Amino acid sequence: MKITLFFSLLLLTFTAQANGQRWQDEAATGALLLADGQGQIQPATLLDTDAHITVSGPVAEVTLTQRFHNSSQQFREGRYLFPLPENAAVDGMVLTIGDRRIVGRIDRKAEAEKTYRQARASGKKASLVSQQRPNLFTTAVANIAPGETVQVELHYQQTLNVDGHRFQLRLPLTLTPRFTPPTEAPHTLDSLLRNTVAAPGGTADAGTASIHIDLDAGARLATLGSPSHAIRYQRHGRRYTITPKAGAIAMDRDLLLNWELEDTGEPLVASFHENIDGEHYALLMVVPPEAGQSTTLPRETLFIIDSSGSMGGAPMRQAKASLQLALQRLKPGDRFNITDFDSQHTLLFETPATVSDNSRQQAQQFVAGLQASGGTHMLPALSATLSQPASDGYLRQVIFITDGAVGNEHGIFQALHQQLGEARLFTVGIGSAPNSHFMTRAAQFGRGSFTYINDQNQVQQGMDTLFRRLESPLMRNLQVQLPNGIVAERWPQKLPDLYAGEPLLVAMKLSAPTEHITVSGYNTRHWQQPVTLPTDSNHPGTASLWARRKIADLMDRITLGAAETDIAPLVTDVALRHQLVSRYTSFIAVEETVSRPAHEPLLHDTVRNQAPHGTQRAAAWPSTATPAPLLWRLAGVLLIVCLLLWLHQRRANHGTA
Amino acid sequence: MVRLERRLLAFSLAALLGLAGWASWLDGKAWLAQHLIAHAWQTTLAQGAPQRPWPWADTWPVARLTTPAGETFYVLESTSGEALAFGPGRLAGGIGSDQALTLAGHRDTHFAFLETLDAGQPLTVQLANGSQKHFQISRQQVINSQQHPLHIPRDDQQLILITCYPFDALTPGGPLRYVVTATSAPTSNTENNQTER
Repeated sequence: MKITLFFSLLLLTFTAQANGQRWQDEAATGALLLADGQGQIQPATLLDTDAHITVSGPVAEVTLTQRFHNSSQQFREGRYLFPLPENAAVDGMVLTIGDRRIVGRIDRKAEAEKTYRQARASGKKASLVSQQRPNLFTTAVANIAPGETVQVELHYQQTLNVDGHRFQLRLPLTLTPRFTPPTEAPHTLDSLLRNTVAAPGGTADAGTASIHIDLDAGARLATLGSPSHAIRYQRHGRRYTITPKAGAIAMDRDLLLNWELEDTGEPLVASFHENIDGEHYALLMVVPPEAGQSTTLPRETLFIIDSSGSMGGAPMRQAKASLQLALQRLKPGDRFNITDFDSQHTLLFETPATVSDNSRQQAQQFVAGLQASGGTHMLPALSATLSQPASDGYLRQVIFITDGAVGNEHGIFQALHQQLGEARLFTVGIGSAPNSHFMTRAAQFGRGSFTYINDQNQVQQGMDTLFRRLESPLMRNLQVQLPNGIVAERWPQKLPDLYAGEPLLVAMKLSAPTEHITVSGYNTRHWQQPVTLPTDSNHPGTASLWARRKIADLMDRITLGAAETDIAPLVTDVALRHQLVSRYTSFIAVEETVSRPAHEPLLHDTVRNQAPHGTQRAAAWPSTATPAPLLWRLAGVLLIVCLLLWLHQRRANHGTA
Repeated sequence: MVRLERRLLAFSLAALLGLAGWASWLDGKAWLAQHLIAHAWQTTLAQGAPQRPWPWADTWPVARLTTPAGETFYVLESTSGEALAFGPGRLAGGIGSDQALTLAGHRDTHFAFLETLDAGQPLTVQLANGSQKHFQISRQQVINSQQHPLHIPRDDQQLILITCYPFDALTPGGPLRYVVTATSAPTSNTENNQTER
């Protein structure tokens, strides 16, 4: 009898331990925010998303339509975060309530928010889109009447991810919760929008998305397909019409579309033109041929791998697989090292080691043992990696594998600027929603490139592409020549080298229209190509792309130490003229008539972002108990058992004595 | 038979010590950490910057909560299991936020006092910028977390405390939560404090 009791107690102890572990695992995912409301449970606000995308060459124009339905009995306010893609700029918004339409206008941010608050307080309908971080946008819809549907239609433009002749369009449909370490203060953002960085626990599910894509790549296509969704397409000459096979798709992963231009073996220069109110804008796309030259310089490859908690699940497996593949491709005689970081960082070798069977094996074991946990303290890891002594005669290449879930981007850019020196930086984005804006900018700073991997099957291809890029530049001293008397405000101001696999985009604002432009450069000999600018046709997006390049350049100057008070008016000026949302400008749309009776209360309702596909979902409610009470009680029971046994033994001893 | 019982006794004693040790570790950690965090909090107030209580901590104090009985707890920035072992955690609200300050804590350590709270009692919160906020308890609720999402009012004049329910439950991980809502107290206690000094 007693034996049975004892064993059942032992069993209980083990169960308690297992429960404690499970509880801790759950608590580790539950750290993120948030749902709004008045403490009362309200019926769901339905959401529907419709994306219509037109692609011309390297630019995509997107119309995103989102419908909010107030299915409750009260007037409500809805709030939703747009996971816009990197390199995207909003240039228009239309708000529809019933059969009325309100066209949004762009304004300085403070004024837009003031207008929004005034409209909200006086019972008017209003919708606000502001830039919180470069690729996070929020929209808030105030004063929705019971049973009413409000539609927010957002137009944005985007520069596409390009690899050689292969183009990729990415429509982000979910978010990675971001982590901001405490030591570097996050950039001051308006508190009105701060709370919507991630909202995993609202009342309503984000609904399905329907997508329609019109594609005109500017040249003949070799391939067309999507690695994320099954698609169907129709061809009309050079144009393609593309939709997902399933019709409406769930908003749990990004939509990817890939296509490839035909390679003629020669550098291809495509040109685009746009005329806005008599101002002429030109865009040149220089696409290098696929066959590259290989470098003879010995290389020193420094890998940095992020093993923080946000990488948990599929992203960590992809990152490890990518790194293992990269290790296999190292050449004997080259040098390498690996930095692993989460809250702390570890260097595999004290200083970069020569590639040998032995060092490679050590590295493979190191990578196999990596586990995702802890915070994202990127800065110390980056500094430790970059401050390793340089090996003379070796070309240093830094390969940074992360989901980029970090908040102190400015601090990291500054560290790169100060410490990178002659090294090149290549970023590899992992997971279904990496912070690709940050990684693209970081790679630009480091004169490298950004590779995006969102699936185990893409690891091989992604890393192959990257390693092809690590080879020497295809063309140096690139120049764009304009006819005499014509000047251009050009972005980038200094043309970078032309890399294998990386087309170069040059955006210009011309002082006068011209058809004749010459592009020249030097590989093993002088190369030049005349270009005819199609001044009689308009390519929407060209001017906007120029304006965005200009704003990005201006914002980079702040990162590099220019006073924000000097830069802000310049950015505001360009943003207002080209109708772009920036750090200093917002879109605002206000309805003229009052729709909420003054005595009706306004309730809040947050529409939930679905957790990224392949990572654990964050719980809104925290776990707030420890197993201590259970342990104490079990200990108490055991104490009684011990006493009983002890008494029994004493009695038995007395009996025998 | 006697030998078997002696062995059983030894086993039971070992298991007893193990369980008691583990439980003491959980409770002791909760108690000791608050003392370490107290120091970090003083530094935070003096320097105006977040301060980690120990160098490898993934969290830092953001507020100090005073109970009606005069007990103080240091609130940490995070509601992860790791942080809650050391103190109550901030879920939402705070400086620069338009949301209610929402705190969560373990029902068997820091937030055990929630059981004794009653409507009308005062709670005081000191924020990292040194400001004191006074609240009065207005409502206590038991909510099933599996059926209802967590709603945080967009109202920075409210304080919400969350812990697990029931308080004497044997196992952790249950679905019920005890939610105490307090609203900003109208009296200006800051002035009183100053006159006391």
